[in-house]
Amino acid sequence: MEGGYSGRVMVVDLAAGEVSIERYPEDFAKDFLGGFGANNRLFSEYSHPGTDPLAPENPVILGAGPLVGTMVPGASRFMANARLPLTGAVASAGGSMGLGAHMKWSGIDHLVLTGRAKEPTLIYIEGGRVEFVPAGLLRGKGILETTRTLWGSYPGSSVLAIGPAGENEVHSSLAMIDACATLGRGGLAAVLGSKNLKALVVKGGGGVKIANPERLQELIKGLYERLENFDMREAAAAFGMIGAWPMYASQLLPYGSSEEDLRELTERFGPQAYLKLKKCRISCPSCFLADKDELVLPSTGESVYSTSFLNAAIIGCALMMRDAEEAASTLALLDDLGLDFMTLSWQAAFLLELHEHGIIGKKDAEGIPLIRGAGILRELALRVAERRGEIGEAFARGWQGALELFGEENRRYTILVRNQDCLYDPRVSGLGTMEFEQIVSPRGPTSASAGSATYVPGLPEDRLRRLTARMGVGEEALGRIFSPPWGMNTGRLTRYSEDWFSLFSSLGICNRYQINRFYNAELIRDLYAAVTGVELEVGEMMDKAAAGWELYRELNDREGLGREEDLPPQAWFSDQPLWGRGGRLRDYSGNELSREDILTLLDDYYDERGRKHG
Amino acid sequence: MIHSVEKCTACRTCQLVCSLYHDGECNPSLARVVLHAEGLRVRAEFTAECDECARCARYCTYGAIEKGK
Repeated sequence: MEGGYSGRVMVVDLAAGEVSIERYPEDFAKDFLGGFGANNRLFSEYSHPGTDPLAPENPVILGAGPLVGTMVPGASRFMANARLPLTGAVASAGGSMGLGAHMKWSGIDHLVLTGRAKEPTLIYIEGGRVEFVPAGLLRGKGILETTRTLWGSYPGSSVLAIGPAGENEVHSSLAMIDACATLGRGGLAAVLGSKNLKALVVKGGGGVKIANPERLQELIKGLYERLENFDMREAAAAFGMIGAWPMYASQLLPYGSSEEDLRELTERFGPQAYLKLKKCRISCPSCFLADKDELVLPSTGESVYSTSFLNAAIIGCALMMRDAEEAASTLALLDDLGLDFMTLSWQAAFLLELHEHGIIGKKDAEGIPLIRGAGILRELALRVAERRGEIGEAFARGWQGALELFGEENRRYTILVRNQDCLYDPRVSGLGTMEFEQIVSPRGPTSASAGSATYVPGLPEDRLRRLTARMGVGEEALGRIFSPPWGMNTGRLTRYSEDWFSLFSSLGICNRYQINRFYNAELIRDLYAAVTGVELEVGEMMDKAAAGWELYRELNDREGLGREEDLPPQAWFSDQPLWGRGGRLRDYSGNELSREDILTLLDDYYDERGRKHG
Repeated sequence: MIHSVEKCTACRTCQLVCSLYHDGECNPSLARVVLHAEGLRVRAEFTAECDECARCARYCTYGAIEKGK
C-alpha cells in the first residue's frame, strides 16, 4: 500500500513485559480494509473460543483504519475488540478523541494486548518506544484525575484510562479516552482491569503517508463545500447533537407525557439549558463539527467533560432530574467511575419498578433512595463501582447478577436483549434499523451499528431509498428492501446498515449522524483510493465491509452466541409502560407490528445476509 | 497568523492541512503550526517557515485562526 497503513502491528505481552512488532499482513487490508474488519481477523488469531472474558488469555485488540490520522473529516474512530463480561459476546467497540490518530502517528495500525501485568501498570508509547510504568499510585483514582495526571506527565498525549469500576471488574464498566469519549459498553474496562492495565498513553511523533495528496486535497475541498451548504451547519457547530432537540425530545419524553411536560423538559434539558453550562466545544482530530464538550457546573464552578450533552439530557429525562446541572454532574460522576450511564440508569429504573410493584421495600434497598432523581443513580453507581453491599455486588455482575438477586421472574421489569439493556424502543420511535439491530447485533444493543438510513424517524419512502442508495446498495437489493407488504423492510435494510457501519469503522470515519451524513459510497471509495493508492469498485469495497461483519458474527457463533439469542424483549409486546416507555409496537412508518412480524423480519434479515439458518 | 484559544476546538485540522499541502502527508510534526496542549485546550504557535498561505484559517470551521494584517 502506498499510504494510509503504517504496516505495523504492536503486540504487548503484559505478563512478560515484552513488546514485539509484527508486519501488518497485506491480505488483512485487502480482505477487510482495516480497523474493524482487520481487528476481527486479528482477534480470530489471538483468541480461543470459550475463554473467560476476565482471563489473561482474552486479548484486547485496538485498531485504527487507513483514514485515521489523516485530514479526512471525522476520521478519528478506532475500534477495540475483546470478549466482554456483560454478555460474553466478542464485541468490537468504537472510540474516538486522539488515541487512534496518535497510534497512526506512532506508526501503529493495531495494538494487541495480552496477558496480565503483575501490578497496576500503564503503558506509554511514543513513536516506536514502549514503557511499562507502575501505576499503583493511580489505583482507585477516577478517570478525570487519572487523565489529567497523565497529561501532566506526558504532555500532548492521548490517554485511554479506566476508573474504579474497571479496576473492580464491573461488567457495566467502560473506558474513557481523553476523559470525554467512551469506549466499550459491556465491560471493556473490566477486561483492561483484569489485565492490571490502568491506562494506555500514546503520543505520536510522525504522520500518515498519502498516496495521492492532490486528489485527497480536492476531495476534502468538496467535503468542506458540502459543509458550507449544510443548512443546519451553525446549529450543529454550536450545539452538537442537542441542536436536534425536537427530534430527540419526542423519544426521551416519558410515555404519556403532555405538551406541558415537553415544555418543562425542554426548559430543563434542551439547547438553552445546555448553553448555561457550555464552556467550549471539543473536537476529535480532523473533525469539522465538534461534538464533545467542556462544561462548567454553575453552583461549584467545576469544569467537566462530556461525550455529548445529549447524554446528560437522556439520564435527566429518564430519571426526572431537577435540571441540566444535576444531570451533567451525575453523568460526570459515572464517567469518572468508568460506568455505562445507560446501563446504570436502567438498573436504577429497574429498582424503581420493583419498588412500585411492591416487590422490594425501602429496607431491601440498603439505603439507596427509591425515588426518581439523581440520588438513586449516584448512590447505585458508587456502590456498583466499589461492589459495595449486596446490591452493589450483584449489579456489578450486570443484569445477570441483578436478576439472580431479585429473581429471574422479575425479568418482566427489564427491557433486555442478550442480557444487555436496550437503548432504543420501537414503540417510541418505530422499528427502524437501529431498533432492529438491537435484536441481531452479536454484541447486543449498542448505539451506532445500524444508524443509517433510519436515524431520523418518519422519513418518506423516496427519501429513505435515496439514503439507502448512497450506502452503496445496488438496485436489486433496493428492490427487495423497498417492496410490499412493508414499504421498507427493516430486516433487509439492517443488513446494509451493518455493512455501512463496518465500512466506516474499518476505514476509521466517525459514524455519528452529523458526520456520516456528508459521505456516500462513491466518495468513500475515492477517499480510500487517494489515501492508500488502492482503486476499488463500490461493490468490491462494500463486499469487504460485509466480510468484516460476517467474520464478526462468526467470532460470536463460535462462542455459541448465534441466531438463537435474537430474542426481542417481552416489553415490546406489552401495553404496560416500563422504564417510562410504552405504547404499541410499530414499524418505521407507524403501522402496528406483531411478534410474528418480527420473526418474519428476522428471516428476511438472515436471508439478506445470505444466512438461511442464521 | 493569529490563533484564538477560546474559539479553538483542538481538532488539529490546521496541522493536518498544513502538512498535507506542503509536505504531501498528514503529519503534525511537519506542520508550520505547533500546538501546545493544556488538557484538551491548545495554544497554537506558527513557525518561522510558515508562509501564511492561510489554508489553516480556511479549513478552521470554528474561526479560531485568522490571517493577521
